[in-house]
Amino acid sequence: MNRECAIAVREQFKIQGKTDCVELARQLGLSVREVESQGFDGALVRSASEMKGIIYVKRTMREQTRKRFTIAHEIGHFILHGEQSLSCGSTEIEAWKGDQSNPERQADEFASELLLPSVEVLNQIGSQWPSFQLVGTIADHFGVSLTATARKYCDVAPQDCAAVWSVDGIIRWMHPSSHFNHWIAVGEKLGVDSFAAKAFAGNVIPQEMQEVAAEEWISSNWFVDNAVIWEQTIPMPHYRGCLSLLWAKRQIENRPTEEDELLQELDPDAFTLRRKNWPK
Amino acid sequence: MKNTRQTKREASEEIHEGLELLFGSEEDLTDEELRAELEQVGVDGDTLSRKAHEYLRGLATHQFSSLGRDVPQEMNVALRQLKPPTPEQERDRVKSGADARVKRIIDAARDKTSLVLSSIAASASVQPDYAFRNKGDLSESDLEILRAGEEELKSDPPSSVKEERDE
Repeated sequence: MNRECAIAVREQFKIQGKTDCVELARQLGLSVREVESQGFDGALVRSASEMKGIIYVKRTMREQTRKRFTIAHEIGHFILHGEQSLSCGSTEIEAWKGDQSNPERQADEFASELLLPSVEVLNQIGSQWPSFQLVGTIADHFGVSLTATARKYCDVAPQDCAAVWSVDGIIRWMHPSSHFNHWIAVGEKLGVDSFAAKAFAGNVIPQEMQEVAAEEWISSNWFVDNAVIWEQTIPMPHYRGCLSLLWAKRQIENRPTEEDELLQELDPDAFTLRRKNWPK
Repeated sequence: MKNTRQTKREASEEIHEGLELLFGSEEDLTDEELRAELEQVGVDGDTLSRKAHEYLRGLATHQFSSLGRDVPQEMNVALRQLKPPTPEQERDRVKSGADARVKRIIDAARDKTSLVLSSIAASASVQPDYAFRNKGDLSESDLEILRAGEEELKSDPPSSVKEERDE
């Protein structure tokens, strides 16, 4: 319903491309004000009985794109959530996590679709391969941060991709595309030869997608020989973080299928008198 | 002396009358409006339908079908109405629900006199409420900002009154 509501808003207001969040808020009876807040990035104060309210946005937020996302998030609360009092802490925001019924997750999904309509993003991607150059072009077109765009990119791209955010050399979250079925251990240290780890170590890293050993990013017992994954990393020193885009261009794992595992279990020697060893 | 059937019918009529008094008659609400009303009081319409369908299906199976008895017609109708949607129907339902919700809000915003919330919710609360993004500990100055906003919303007369004054 969250995405669908955002699509409906874009349709109703005939929004194409970049969304003017302040104007949209005004049309919905909300005024937007920048304030010197300390304890929140954004807040919505709304009347419980009339269609009006005020969205406050922290003035000192560095990026305009983040302010726009915050306004879109509060519009999401206004549209999606009746009269619940809600608050969203920094941990939830950083991980952008929570179950589908979490109102913060819902407001984020709404904001993402309002600012980055999936269909238009998909059109922009066309047949281009994953890269931060492409993600950056989309981000500029829609006036959205690189991080939010990288996540949306992974939502809609047909390739096996994942956006990964790490801080101080530790993986904080990963956002995979629906085809990316590999395990990246959130909370663990980056592989030392990943470009992200090299960026944290102060080394110069490639500005294009390049191959690294898959094991630098992925935990698996079933790697194919010479398994590689493509990586491009953008250092963000202000946040002491790195945003990485990963692309499993070729097969990197050769996992046993369910059938293989079943056959192993049904080994005829395992449960007969001829069995020599107790099954492990 | 009343027979059992008559007593049951009277009891059923009384329940229906009571429900009508509480929620209005069936014809007064569209499915979407009913869904919105339920949402306002914290009931998820989908879950309610699914649970009711499960319960009724169990009843129809155990009390009728498996005993070789015909399932009553009204129960059949209810089972058909409550049957969970196919993925396509679900997609269409979500889309039309979202369209209706957004249209209702936009109409209310354009027509300054109308209220977006249900009559139940509106009468229950006139206090402003909040939603935050990236909330930490609120400082005194944060609280002041919020209080000022709250006061502004409270003191600002309803748009309908303002428009009357302007005239």
